[in-house]
Amino acid sequence: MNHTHMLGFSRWGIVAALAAFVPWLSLAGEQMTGRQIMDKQKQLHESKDEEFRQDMLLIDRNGNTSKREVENFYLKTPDKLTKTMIIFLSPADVRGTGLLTWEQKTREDDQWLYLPASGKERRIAASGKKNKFMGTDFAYEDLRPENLETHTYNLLGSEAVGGKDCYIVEALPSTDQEKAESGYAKRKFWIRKDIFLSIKKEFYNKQDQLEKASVDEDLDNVSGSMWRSKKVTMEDLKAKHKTVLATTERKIDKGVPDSKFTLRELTKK
Amino acid sequence: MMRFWTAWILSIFVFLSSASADEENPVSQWVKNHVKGSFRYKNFAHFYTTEAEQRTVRQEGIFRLEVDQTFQENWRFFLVPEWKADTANYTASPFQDFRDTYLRDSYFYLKEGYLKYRGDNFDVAVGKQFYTWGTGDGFNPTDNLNPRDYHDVPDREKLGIFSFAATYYPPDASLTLVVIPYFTPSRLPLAHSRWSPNPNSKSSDDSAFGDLGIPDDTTARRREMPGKRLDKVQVGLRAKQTFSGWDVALSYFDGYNTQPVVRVADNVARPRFNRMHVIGADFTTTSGKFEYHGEWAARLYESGRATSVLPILLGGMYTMDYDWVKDLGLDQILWNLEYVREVTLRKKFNDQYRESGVFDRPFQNSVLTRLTFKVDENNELYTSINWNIHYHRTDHHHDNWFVQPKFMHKFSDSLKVEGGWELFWGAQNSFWGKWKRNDRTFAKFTYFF
Repeated sequence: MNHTHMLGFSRWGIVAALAAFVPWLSLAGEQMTGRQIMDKQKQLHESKDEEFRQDMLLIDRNGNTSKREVENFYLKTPDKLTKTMIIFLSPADVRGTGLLTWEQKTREDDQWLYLPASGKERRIAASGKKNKFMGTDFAYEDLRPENLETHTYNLLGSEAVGGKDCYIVEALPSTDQEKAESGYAKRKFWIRKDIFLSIKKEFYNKQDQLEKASVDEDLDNVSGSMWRSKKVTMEDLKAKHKTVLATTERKIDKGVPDSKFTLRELTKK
Repeated sequence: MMRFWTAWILSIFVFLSSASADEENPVSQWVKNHVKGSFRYKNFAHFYTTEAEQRTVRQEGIFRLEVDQTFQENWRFFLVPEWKADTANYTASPFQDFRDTYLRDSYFYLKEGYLKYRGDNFDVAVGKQFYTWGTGDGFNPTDNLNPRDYHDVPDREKLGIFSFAATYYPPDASLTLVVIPYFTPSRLPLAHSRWSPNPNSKSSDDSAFGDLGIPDDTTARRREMPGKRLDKVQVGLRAKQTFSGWDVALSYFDGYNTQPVVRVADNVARPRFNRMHVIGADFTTTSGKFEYHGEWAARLYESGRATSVLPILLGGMYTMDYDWVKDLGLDQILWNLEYVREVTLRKKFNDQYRESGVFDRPFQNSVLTRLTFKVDENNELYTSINWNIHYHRTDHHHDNWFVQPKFMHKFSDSLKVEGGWELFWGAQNSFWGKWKRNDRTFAKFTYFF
């Protein structure tokens, strides 16, 4: 047996096999489906609970600004449903205003709004997802965790954003209820390939026109594989109005208790 | 007028003093973190003079502070002092008495002030407090704890009540006990103001009754207040539970109606306050773009001194956020619609007592509705309508209306203006119709700091 030949053959064979395999390896990521990318994002960045403070800067088309300070709480319950609470700390005319939402699996979410002037909480129809949240450019649905079960996700390709290679994933409402309740015909996410985090989003209205765009900046590796952006800018392109969300404090998985998400807490002030 | 402008100047001085405080100063830091406030200017311009009041313009200034201090994690101290002045002398004395029984408002007033302890699953609070029971939007049959200030009827405000409150919080529920040790009456319209249903009254105490058929030779006496005794203590209980998308509450109140009836005996007429037992329930739920709610309360009087009634309210709110709404340049349209029907449980049978129900039972067969056009967070238009439908069994309930178109604009986070019209229709002896010469425009400016 000619070992040299054999070795030579084997060597070339291995090189050839590797040469054929490497492009396939690099394609492996590309060939993840949109849903797989979204699943991966959720797996890497989802927390059990969070508590954070944000400054909301509202900028109109003339450059006039107004600032709001909010406190956010988030909890993933043992049955994988979310509870969220948003409380306004300033300015004075909205201080104490709060919104409490309990996600439900088989029925509409429970949602209560508390306005200090009225002195009582009010159960509100949670279907108003498309409405702007307290004068910001964020709709109520933009502030909720992504519901992977009510959307179809398509991988559209790749593109670099800020020098970082990203997947472009399109999200389309897939259920009749989501189609009826959402203000969007589709959304596009730019998701960084290295950390699987959305850093840019586009929101298209029911006429399929680009209505809003958001950019996430100042990314922070908060824990393990978990990243968060410290600054999100949402722009309403038609109204030429911007909202900048700057996170000033954040605590992740520090054990926000279930008792934080109650009507008692909502109406505390 | 002089006192009004003095209060204005004083308010601005106090505001500017705090606004210009040194940021480094620990006192100004404390103020920044624990004190907020507002200055509100109201202007009401009536279209007509009335027999009772020739004045057509009334101005009012209110300076309010809110002091909120939490200490040792579980304790909270909350205080809302208010300074008020107006040009129609609805405000007169420097202070209220401890029981808040003066007929006019005072220049200085503690609107709210309590100390609260917060345990793991209970709260205990003592002091002057507000309670907001019920789910109705325009009318709350179960909400009987706090008196109201009816000096300006459409602008009526709740008054705080000195009380002890304890709430226990089981999961998704609450159980509240309220104890009110002494009685505070509602402030009824002044005898010779344009809001008095009986402007020719001999006594300011019986101004709110309209024509009760009291003989001319009757001597009017001051109202008789419930005494400060243990058996006069008022008690309220409310249990609330949230389950499967519903909020349901049951309530009970054993206390006094804050509005009096008149006892006529031996040629003496004297306003008195009736003890009542109110057993109530309310609910709210949502479905799609609808919120539904209902509220009813059996109001039972002792010894037949007033008619025992059961007002029932059913209503809902519809949120319109369709694309056509956006195309109109609106964020959303909200439509509140409520129907109130009062059922008589037991007619008054004690002939010594005269009741009018002027403020006590305003809605006996009524539609209450409000349409809100929300342009954005800074601009909103509203139209509120109260329609009392002709009701054969009582004379004073011919069809009558109150309509309030209103707009709100925020110049900034600190400055808000509201303006609009308040219009009344109906026969002179109907609930809203008796004020049909009180049609007016209003403007309210509020500065928050």
